Amino acid sequence: MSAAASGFSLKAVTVDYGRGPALKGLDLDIEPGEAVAFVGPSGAGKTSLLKVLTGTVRPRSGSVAVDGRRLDTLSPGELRAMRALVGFIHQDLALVPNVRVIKNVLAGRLGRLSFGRSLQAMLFPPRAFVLEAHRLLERVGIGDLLYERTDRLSGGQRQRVAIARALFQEPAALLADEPVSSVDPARARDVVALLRSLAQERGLTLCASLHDVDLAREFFPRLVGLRRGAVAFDRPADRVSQQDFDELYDLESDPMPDERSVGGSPGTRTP
Amino acid sequence: MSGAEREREVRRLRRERPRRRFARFSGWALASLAVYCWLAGDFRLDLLDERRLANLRRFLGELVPYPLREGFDLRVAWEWTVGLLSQRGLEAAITTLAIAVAAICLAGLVASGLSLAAARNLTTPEAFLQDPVPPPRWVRGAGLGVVYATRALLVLLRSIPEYIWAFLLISVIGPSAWPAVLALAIHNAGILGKLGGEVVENLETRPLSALRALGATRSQIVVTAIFPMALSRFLLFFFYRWETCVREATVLGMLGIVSLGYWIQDARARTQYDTMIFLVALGVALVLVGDLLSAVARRVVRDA
Amino acid sequence: MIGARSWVIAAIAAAGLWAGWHADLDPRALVPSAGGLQVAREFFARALSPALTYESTTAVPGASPLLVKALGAAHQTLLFAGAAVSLALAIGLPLGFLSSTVWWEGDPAGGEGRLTRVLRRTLAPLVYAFARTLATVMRSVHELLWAVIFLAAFGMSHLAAVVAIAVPFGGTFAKVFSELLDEAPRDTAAALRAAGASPLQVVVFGVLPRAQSDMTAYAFYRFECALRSSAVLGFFGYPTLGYYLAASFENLHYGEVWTYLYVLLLLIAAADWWSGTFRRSFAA
Repeated sequence: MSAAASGFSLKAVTVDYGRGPALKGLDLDIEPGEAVAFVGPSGAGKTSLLKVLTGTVRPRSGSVAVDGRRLDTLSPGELRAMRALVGFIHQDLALVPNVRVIKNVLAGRLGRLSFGRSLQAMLFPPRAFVLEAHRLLERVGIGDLLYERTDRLSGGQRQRVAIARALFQEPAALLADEPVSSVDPARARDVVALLRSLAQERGLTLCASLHDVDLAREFFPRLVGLRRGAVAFDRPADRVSQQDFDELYDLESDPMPDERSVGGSPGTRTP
Repeated sequence: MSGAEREREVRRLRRERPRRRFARFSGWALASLAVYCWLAGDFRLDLLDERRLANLRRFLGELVPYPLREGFDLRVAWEWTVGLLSQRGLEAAITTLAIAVAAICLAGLVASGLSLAAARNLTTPEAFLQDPVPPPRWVRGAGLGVVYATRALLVLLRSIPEYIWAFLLISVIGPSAWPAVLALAIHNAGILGKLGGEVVENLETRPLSALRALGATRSQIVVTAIFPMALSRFLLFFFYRWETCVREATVLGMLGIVSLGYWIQDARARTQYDTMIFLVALGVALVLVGDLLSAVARRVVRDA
Repeated sequence: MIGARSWVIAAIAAAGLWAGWHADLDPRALVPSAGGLQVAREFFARALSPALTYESTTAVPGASPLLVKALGAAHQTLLFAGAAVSLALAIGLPLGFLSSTVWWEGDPAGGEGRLTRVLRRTLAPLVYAFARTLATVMRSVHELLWAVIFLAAFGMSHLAAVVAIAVPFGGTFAKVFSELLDEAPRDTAAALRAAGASPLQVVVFGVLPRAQSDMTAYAFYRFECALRSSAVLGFFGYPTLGYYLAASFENLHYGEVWTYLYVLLLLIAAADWWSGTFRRSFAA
């Protein structure tokens, strides 16, 4: 698998879960190695967009291409290999609570192992894997927690385990769905800074959905604003004005029918 | 960190990792126990014995239903089936059902009271609230004493198998339906009492504390708040145990009480194995009906 | 306003009254006869003084002491129960897996070949339905009924007795495990799928870990039930606690009966303690 970064290309992508379109005719191109932040109100389609990029959601129409290869032309095995190339950090982290951290981190590489080998790796982790996992955990700041039980960790520590798991995949791109939604503001900057530096070190493409626009502007060179499943703006960070944000998050002029509150937890509606 | 340093660090972390010693030990112990049971027990596959094979042949011969023995005649089959059902099958099945229903109702009634006594948050001097003046130690001790005594009683009731309860009761009361009903009721009161106690203990304390703060007595809280809050979960357990009662009631007949089990045992004694299997199948039908009713009832309770 | 639950309770009360009427449950019949009362009195008199040696007046020379025999019976009870539960697990785990939807749920993004998709739509539901039906039939016949059937077919066979317990227990394991698997949270499974794991990996490393602690707890509970069933097997001639209990009772040696009862209680208490401690050490 290539260690170089992955580029994404979406053309006219429409995603519909049956309750109305989550993404409508979306066009987007992301160059390898870029760092892009997706911003927008709840239900704008940020999570759906990320899931389309990683190949776990198939668009109803339009095409998704990773490194120039359209996902809908891939065989199941090739699709799995493509998914293994993209590291995804879920909003709710999706870790197994009652096992040790190392097991959660090792799970990241399952996609590259045969079943027999993965069983062996999870039950009797090879030395090389253990050292690699420790290196990653150390890089995200929690090396000591290698053998701790995951549910004993704080939220912020668990977040880092999820990041380590995504990195253990040896991905070419890193996608983060609301990485700081349940983290206090002081830590939020640390997490976003960590993601940025990790991506830069390894030359990964980075896409993150954020609802804190200031954080997005500070750390990401390119911002894509989403509203009602379509791109509202797609500009370098320094050319995004306050007015763009106000229009994006303005509820009065174009309220969403099932929007509950501005501060509602993002991404709860997406399956 | 260099490679060697990392190796050392990882080794150190592994050494100092939090161990779940007991869980780990248990895992091995259980596996060894399983192997031991199979080896130490006299579980030979000894069917190649002449006597056993002859027995098996006879069994299979008797197993063929009477109507099928000399070519299939629908009328004979119908008469045989209806005869079996009318003579004993249907009556025994309904009696089995009645025993199960009576037993679980009795168990539920008794267990409701026992659950309350077994709940630590209710049977204490400061139910749901911190008393401004903590009661004397002996009062608190008495409350805990009641809880633990109730729990011990519940353990006793449910640890003795229903079959043994019935066996003991038959010698005292005689072979009516009562020993079966009481045996099932006692055993299930123990189970429902424990489960109900846990439900009460896991209730949200805030609404209950609020009531207590308004001056409600314990019994008032039970009737107005605990009962409705705990009812749904208690009913779910109630119907689950009913399914088991139907199965057990069938079997208790083998002690001499007139349920399906009695006639099954009777047919076995007469080597009328076709009748025996017919009645077993009837029992299965009864169980399936019971499970269906229970599923419907549980759906109603869950959606309520 | 009468809610649905009130209707349910009313139905239960009505059913209870009908049942009492149909089974001739006259409360007056509860009063034991003189003979019955005698038995009860003598029986409960020995509750706190179980026999430590044989009560029979005719001593059988060379017979092992009572306590040794009681422990031997407990040992046999344990053997039957352990063998039965291990066999039941061996049956119930694969059957439970097949009885759940987890193995043919399918990837929502459709990452599967055409053959797989066809199989998933046609063959899989059939296998699923068959597995569930098999499990239901297995657990609809009580273990003692299986034991009686096997007694008729094979005569006294310890292996047959173990199978008699293992069949309904395996069916119950299948049902409960399938429900636990179906209800386990799918978040980890989704994450592993997004990381490129195969469907088998997703189930084994994504769904199973989320259900396994409940499954283990239930297995412990079933072991306790197996101890009870194993003891009752003794009533049918097998060398477990029930056999000696019944024999002593019929000989009116109530002290011995209490001895066997206490041994049974100790056995179950030990299993209960182990199960509780295991679960606590896991959660700790």
